[in-house]
Amino acid sequence: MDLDGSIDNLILELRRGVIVLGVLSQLDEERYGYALINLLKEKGLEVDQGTLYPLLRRLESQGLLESNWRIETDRPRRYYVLSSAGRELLPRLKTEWADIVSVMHKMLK
Amino acid sequence: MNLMDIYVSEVGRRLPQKTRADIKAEIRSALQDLVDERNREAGKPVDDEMVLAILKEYGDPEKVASSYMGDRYLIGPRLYPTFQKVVFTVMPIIVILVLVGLGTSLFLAGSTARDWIQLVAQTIGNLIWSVLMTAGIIALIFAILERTVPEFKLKKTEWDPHTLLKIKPPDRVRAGSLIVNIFFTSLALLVFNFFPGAFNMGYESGGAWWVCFICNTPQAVWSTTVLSGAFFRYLPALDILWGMSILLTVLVLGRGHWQTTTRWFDLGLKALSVGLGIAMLAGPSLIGITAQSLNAAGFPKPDAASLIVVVLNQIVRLALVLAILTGGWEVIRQLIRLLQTPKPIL
Repeated sequence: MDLDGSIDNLILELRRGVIVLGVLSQLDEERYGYALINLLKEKGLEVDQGTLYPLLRRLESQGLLESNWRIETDRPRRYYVLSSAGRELLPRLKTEWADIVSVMHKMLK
Repeated sequence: MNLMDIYVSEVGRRLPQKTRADIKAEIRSALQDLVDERNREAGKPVDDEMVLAILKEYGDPEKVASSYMGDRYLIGPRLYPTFQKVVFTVMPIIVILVLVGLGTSLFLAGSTARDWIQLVAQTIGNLIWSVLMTAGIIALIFAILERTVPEFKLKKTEWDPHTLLKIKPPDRVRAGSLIVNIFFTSLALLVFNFFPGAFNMGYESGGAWWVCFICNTPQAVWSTTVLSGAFFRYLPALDILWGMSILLTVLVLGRGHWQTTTRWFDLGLKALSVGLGIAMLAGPSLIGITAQSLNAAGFPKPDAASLIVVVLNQIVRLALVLAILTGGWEVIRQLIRLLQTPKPIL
């Protein structure tokens, strides 16, 4: 693997955990995939569709999200929202994240 | 079917049945959102080129399907559709072969209900065993291909959505049929070379008759292989053709597409197979049993002995005629195609 490929992989790994937290943090109310992508983008976190949709399904299969199909403007959209388990987990993840940031901030000074 | 439908279908065919419909619906909805956005931005309805750009942005169907399946799989999305095709092709053939075996055994079995029940029970056992073994072998072949054939692992060229417009180009490898070909050719090589008496018939001291395939018959008073010496004289030629056929198939699978040279090589093998088939049809019988040998061995239904031999011979001759006709047709069709000037696909 060339250097560029290695760097891309490392950045991807770094972002992977961040994206999960970013997504969970924005799903306290129901949103469909495309709206969520735009919302994350507005807030500075760019996630492509190929990453987001499988992630949403995985989080749902882990019981952290719930989803339902709704017909809107003549076509169906799948809405996702935090489940009770997801709501319970989110504050703990936020605390964990704050600790990581604090430690890394000290380490990278 | 429009481009978006083809794209969604291309992703879907790489996904497991259980989640396929749901994921396809979600992708369709996501694509429609992108189309609406481009529509608003452009201030006009999207055209095919814009749809192609959206699909390119969304990504290679193979990668999209892969992202839904995670990384832990025995057979990944690249090979899953082919695996599915092979299983659905091979399994009915296995079931038919087992049922034909049951039919033959019932014909030769004693007339008591107990014998019949015993045979049916044995057949159910054989069927389960055969299906499980075949599924295991196919899964093993695919797991090995998944990890070894370079084209399946290292295809790094950027995906071009225009490929969606090329529906079934003639030189695209239909991996399913090629792998079925490898499976059955390998099976034939194995059976006829290492189990030459695999297809045999005989009877036991208790008077029970059987016709079986690779069976253990310690109590046999008399048994004989169904295939004749004449058949085994053709075996070296068949081995060469089967071996070449497997090599060619592996080569084509590795390259991912047919080329003119591999097409000509395939045509040559097919022509030789047809020639060998004609020789086998014109030569001595491929069935090694006769009414006399059956009756001399104490066959319990002397009247039926000659009928059995005639039927077996006719089945073999019919199979040869069908193989020669389909092979001959294939040779002519392929020859015409190779001699014609290639036409652009688009």
